Amino acid sequence: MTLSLRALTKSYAGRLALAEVDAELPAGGYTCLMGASGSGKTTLLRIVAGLERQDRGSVLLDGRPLDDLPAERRPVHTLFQDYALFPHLDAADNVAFAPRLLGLRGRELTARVRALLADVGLDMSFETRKPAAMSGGEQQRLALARALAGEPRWLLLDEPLAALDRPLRAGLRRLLRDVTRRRGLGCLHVTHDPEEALALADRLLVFGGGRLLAAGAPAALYAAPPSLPVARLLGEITPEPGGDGWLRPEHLRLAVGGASKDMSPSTCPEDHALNDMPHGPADLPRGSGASDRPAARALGTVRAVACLGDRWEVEVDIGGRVHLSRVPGDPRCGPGEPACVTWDRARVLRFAGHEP
Amino acid sequence: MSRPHAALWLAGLLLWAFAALAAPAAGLVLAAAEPGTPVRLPTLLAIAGDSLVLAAALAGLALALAYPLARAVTAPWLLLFVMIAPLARAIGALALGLSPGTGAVALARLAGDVPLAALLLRARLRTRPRSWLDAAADLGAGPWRRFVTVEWPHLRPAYALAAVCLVLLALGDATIAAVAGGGKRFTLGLALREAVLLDAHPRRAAAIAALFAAIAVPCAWALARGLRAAGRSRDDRQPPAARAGLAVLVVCAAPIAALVVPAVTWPLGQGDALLAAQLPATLASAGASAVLAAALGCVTGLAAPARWSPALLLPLALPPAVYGAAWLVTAQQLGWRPGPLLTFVTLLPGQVAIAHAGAAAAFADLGRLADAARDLGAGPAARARWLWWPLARPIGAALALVAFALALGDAGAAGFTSGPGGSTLAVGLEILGRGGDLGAVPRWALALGLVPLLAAALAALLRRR
Repeated sequence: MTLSLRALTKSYAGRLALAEVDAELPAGGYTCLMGASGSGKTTLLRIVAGLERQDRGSVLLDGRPLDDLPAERRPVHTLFQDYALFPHLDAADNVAFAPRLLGLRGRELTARVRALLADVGLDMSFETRKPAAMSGGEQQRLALARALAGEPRWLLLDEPLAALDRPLRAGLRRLLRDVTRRRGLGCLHVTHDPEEALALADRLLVFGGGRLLAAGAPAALYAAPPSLPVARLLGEITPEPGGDGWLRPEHLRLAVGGASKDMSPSTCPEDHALNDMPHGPADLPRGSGASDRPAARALGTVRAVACLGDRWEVEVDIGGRVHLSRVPGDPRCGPGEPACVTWDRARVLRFAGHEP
Repeated sequence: MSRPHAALWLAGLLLWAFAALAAPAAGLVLAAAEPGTPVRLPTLLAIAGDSLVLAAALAGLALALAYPLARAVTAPWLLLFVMIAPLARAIGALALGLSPGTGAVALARLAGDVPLAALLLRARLRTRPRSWLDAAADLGAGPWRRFVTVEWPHLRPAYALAAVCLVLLALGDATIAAVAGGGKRFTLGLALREAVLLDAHPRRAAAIAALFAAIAVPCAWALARGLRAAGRSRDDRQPPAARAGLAVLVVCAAPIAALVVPAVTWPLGQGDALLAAQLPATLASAGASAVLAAALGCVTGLAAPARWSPALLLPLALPPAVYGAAWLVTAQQLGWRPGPLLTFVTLLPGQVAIAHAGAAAAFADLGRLADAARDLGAGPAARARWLWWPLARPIGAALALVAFALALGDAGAAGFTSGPGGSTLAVGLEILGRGGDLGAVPRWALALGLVPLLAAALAALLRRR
């Protein structure tokens, strides 16, 4: 079922939260809605869910307007940021909430509840537990099972991983992807975390100031963002040494003591920082004539080196300006040492009126 | 959360505004507009000034004592002490051996005022900015410096709200001043009682009521804000415990404790029979109004827009004596006779207001659950059955018990509306107390004082079940 948003507009006390948002979200696709805090993404989700009413515009499911349907009659369910689990009901009753409303009772209901709990990795011992007696990760799984229990056509996810720590977040991200893909469920996932959005989405919508800034395949948007705000929302960027463009830090290669480390996907796909993405790095579009152009280089001084766990970050001072380079292994250099950075000119991002 | 049936809610608010606020106010104003002797403003101002001095002094003392108490005692216990009838505290203060006058009035007032201020402070303490306090300590600030720079600015709104509430209650008090004051202390509440019941001077009564209303309106607004802030705090952080406050609690408990010995040493007498005869009707009336108030309080706490809270809480900010006086004058205009029905009508808005306050604080964070239920397909009936009823039931029962205890112990409003015979237990007890019946009075005052304890025990039992 295709979800269509037509010129959605909403304002609160004179402040525009959504401005003429148009989007076509394909059935069964995983769409991530990205943007900074206050960009209007949660408002959009609540309008689709029917929990808020738009000032203008329309939400359509397979061409049928949902606008006059109250939230309880829309074929969409939400995974809330704080989970909103019912505190007075145990886990099984929380999951059974929607099926019961659909008239399911007895063994059929029990079987569905157990299957859903198992699907999200909660065993039978959780059935009688109240949400308060569960950890954040368990509550998140329970909230997912509850949202899936009503067999929605679309699942709306409002920053569902925001409250979890990093290791738990990665595991639940994979669970989310598996569970929703297995069901062929359309998902609209709100997040401000680019890693989460890039890892999960088939299609990415980037929001800023209530407006849709960009839409497209995540890898394509990452590689060639249409504007500086979109580029910044999707990941860090660093000024092009001596130029007027911008580079992703992993595209700025570092040569210390004669060894150059290239993080670009074409030359070093196994090390690429985006290897968690659903699409392989080969999908990343390259600028035309990339191989014709010589790589640019510049000399500078290492200002700082930091280990980020799976990669290293080196700050290089070139002509009084600091540039960031990210490399997969120990760069074996220290502050004050000379360094040479090289980059592929085809990787340079240029935005009119946004010189560094 | 979107609110369907906005027109229905608006009609409900208008009905409430008419029944709880406009009708008694209109009656008083109309009566005051009739020709009669003018108000002697200097006398009124002298009474107001005298009672304001006492109220301000007691409020200051109560606020100073409230901070250690707020840190030492949990909210349910504080509420328990707040719920003890002023009449029982007044009789208890005299039972301690204090002679009627300022000292007895002060003790009786402080025994309820300090827990009330502590309750408001404790709600605020739950949201204390712990990270700021930690940062101040980390930067080298000692306990006093931390209190002055971080804790005090955070607590200031709660102190301001508590100060206004305490001053209003003390100014409007008629019961404690009548029983423990022994005619030596005069408050605006007593002046109101005199204007309506003795002098039949509605113009003077209207002037006094207008004075209270002018203070009560901003107080209700502040109360609504404070409640919302307390309700939003869902982290259940308790303020750090300090045992020093337990000594304050002992002082607050002293008047009730002092009633135990005289209550069991006297044989049953005529006063007991008189009060026992009033018990069934009082219990029935207080019970019925409490159940109705709890139901209305829960409904409005759950579903009424937050901006309505000041209007719903206004009866809580008005002293009972003002309500009683306004309703009695209105009833006289309408040709109604004082009695149980008028008392019921007079007490109900205050009970609804306290139930609404409790429900609004308890349910402040439940909008997200309503959204979740709607999102999962639950319509209004399903939400009521699966969400609101199970969540509201224990809170509603507790609020009904609070409202019941308040109605049972009220002599401030019922003193006006119950009629010359004293048709409620508390009014009968006050009359006997002023008459000096040493047999029945401490016994029944102790029973009245223990009602909140019984109510709390019952609430705990209900919660466990």
